[in-house]
Amino acid sequence: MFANTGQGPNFSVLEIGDPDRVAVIEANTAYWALVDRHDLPQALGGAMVEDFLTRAPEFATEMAHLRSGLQLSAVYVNPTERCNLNCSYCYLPEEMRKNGIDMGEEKLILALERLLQHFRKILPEGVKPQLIFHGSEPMVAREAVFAAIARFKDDFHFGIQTNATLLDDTAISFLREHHVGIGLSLDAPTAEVANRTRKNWQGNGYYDTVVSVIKKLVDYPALNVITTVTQANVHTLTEMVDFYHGLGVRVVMLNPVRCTRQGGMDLKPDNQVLAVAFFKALDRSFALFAQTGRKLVIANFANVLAGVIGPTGRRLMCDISPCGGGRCFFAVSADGEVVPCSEFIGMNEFSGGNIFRDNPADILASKPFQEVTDRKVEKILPCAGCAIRHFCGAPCPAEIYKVSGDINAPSPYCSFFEEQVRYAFRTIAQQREEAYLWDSWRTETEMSYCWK
Amino acid sequence: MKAQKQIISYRRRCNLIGQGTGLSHYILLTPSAETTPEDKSK
Repeated sequence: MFANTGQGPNFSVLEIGDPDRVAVIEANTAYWALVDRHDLPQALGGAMVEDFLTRAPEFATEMAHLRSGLQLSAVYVNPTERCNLNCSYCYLPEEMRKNGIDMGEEKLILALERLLQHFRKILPEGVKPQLIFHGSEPMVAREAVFAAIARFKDDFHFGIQTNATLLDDTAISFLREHHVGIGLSLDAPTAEVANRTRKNWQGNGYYDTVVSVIKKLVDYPALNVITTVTQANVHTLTEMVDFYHGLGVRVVMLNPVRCTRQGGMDLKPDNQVLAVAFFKALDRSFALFAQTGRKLVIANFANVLAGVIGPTGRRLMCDISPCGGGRCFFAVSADGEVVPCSEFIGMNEFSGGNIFRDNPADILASKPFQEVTDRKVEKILPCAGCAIRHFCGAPCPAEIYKVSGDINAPSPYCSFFEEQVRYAFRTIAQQREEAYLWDSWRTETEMSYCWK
Repeated sequence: MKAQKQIISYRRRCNLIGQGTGLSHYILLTPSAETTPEDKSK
């Protein structure tokens, strides 16, 4: 049996930049093998083809489940439209952040009650759904948020994504006591750069405040920090890794800015510049791990690597198609409108209904949600013929809709994703996976296939 | 002559699917702090 003819599988060969090996990929099943570059004829016509064919149905079933069989298990809730900051690249409309409405405590509790009723119908007994307060800035609605956490503490795993400027010691104690996951935002290791993009309505930055809060929370196991990568800070990523590692932070995301609004588009870094800076930062995180034994997980790359190692081993559902928006999670805005993901807030054409009026099951089945959950790489060019289409997923539909006017288009970060996947394969070739993945990844997954 | 490198190919499977953990996020890798350092010592 040979690959690429007759009944044989279609194997693509991917140059990964490793001196010895190339990747051989069967794209539909996300199967891969790293093969000596001088041994390709044997790989494309020998035992590897036979071995793949015996396992292909199982791999295909797994991919089908990942792509269409998962159910809702998390909700992002915006308790307010308002934000005390005016970051240059925010994906939410300015008028909404400046003069928007709050949901209020009574309605927030009603929303969570309705969500809980739905989750009790669909999740196995004893499994808690996840609920993340997101923004705008959720701490602007602190009283309502804390009341909801206290009331539903036994029903949800809670998280909060905050700019940290309103996290005083009382708030930190409350969130710790209630085991709430905390995500903070910081964009650079110096105030000069960090405050360029993350600032209040008067133009003043909060670098010192955010660093102070990180220091208070650095021992907290559910802390993570998001750095939004723009033209303004892309050259500081390696310093950023040193800075976070020095503080004792364990998990960060170095997320390229979303081009969902003009501010983000204007600040988008060049893909090649981004790739070079990002990989230097990854190299630095590896060196620090080797030197100290202490890991700084760069979670957005870790997720790509985890998705290559095992498609269901990923933890973030952006880099798979369809993405997780509208099927694994959705977002509730402060007026109760439900959209597939927070990135869609303010795009009313993607509202699937209102949490105070409509049943979540009907919202999930709504036409706007289906538009997002039907967005598959097979419908997108050049993704349909791309060997790594299930390691990248061509994210993000909201961003692409704003950039292209059509969600079925490739990502503005396409070439950056290509380079990340090559780096992931080099990491595997060098057997360095452990240095980049979160501590519990081995226990969260099990080996399902291994070439002998 | 340089020795040929062995093939590396493996696949792992999440054992938490259906448990409401993982596969449900786009920003927070660790949304829950159910296990705190204090809990670990218990």
